[in-house]
Amino acid sequence: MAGAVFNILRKEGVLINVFLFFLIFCPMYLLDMFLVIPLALLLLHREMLNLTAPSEQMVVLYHIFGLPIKVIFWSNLLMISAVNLINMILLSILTLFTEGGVDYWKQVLVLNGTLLFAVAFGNGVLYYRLNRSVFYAGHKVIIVSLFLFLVLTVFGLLFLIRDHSVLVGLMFLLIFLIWIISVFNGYD
Amino acid sequence: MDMIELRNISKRFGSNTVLDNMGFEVKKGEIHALLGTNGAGKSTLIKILAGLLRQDVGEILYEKAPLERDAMKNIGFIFDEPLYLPYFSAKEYFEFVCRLIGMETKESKANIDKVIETFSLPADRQPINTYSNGMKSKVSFAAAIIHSPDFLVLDEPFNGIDFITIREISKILKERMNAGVGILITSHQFDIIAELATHFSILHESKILLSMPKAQLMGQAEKSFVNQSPDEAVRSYVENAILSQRKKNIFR
Repeated sequence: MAGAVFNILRKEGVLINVFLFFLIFCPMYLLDMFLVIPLALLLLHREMLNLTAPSEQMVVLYHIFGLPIKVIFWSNLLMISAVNLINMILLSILTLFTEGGVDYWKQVLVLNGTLLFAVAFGNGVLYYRLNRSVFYAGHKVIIVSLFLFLVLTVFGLLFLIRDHSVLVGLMFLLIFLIWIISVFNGYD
Repeated sequence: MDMIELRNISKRFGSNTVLDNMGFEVKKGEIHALLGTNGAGKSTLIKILAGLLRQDVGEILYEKAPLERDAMKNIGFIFDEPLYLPYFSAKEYFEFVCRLIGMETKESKANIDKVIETFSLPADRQPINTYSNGMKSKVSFAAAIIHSPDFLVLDEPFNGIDFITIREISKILKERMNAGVGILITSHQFDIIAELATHFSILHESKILLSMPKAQLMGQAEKSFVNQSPDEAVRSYVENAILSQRKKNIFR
């Protein structure tokens, strides 16, 4: 699995970006290392990177044949579910070794807020690329860099918010944003 | 009659005018050859037709209405660079394309098996980026026709393909044309095009020099080049038209 992810990132030319941004944001990982593991999986997820910055060939295919809403819906849903499942397993293990010192709700809210932002960003970029000339829509390396920078920043900002109700409000705002983008896109 | 019509298309890249107020139409049941020298703007035109580039001026009509994304599914495209997903096998790539088109599973399975057999492509899990250039072109061609579109737009479809496959593809194109499919084709290989095409348009220095049916072109060519065979006369006529225009532009 790790080898496959490494190869994809290398072949797609974004390996250096991914590692560079992980290094830049490394002090943030000290905030909560158990939250960082599912976040890292999200950022390295092949589908997420493909959705954020699909290869030129993929964009041409979407241009010609259309992009069924099902592809976007299941890609988003599978990614969110997979990361949450991993997080749940990690939290269960953590429970065995700690005695009530972890704010589980906050962890789940921060992770899902970051996930929803990543999905909104990915769908937004795709909308941008499908509605402009394919060859001028921004280089993949730039898009991936911007994606990593913004997702890690949002992760840090969400972590600093102490109030759970503000986090829930932000999550609903992000869901609304995703819905608006999909309506504009009319993917099919 | 169903057709694709390009009307008053202009495209500039900076100060360089690639297409200047040009247009022609492709009807169903014809093979329309778009000929031109290197840099004439053929590939740019195909990319505009596919929606990959935006024209500055002009419109593209499909069945008398502006070409929308829904109608694009009725057109199969081949670009100057073969289109495929490098980490997918041929079968996986065709499955992905069929899914994007919205084809039923049963229908897509039958169509995939058919194109794999027709083009002698590997049915195993070998990724396409390990194929030869010719095989990649075949994959690209097979994906363009997998959903039996009403129109085919082919930019240099014979690049890197061996002579046996060229013959097979030519046969497929003739069969499709007889079944009522409209085909727009560009190629540097004049001999193959001359044999296949029913209509010719010549694009030179951003403008359409001439656009007419093959029979009319042959008639004019035979009058101008009486001592040559019909195919040679057509080639000479086309070459002459391009060279005369080039001279005119030089002395202007």
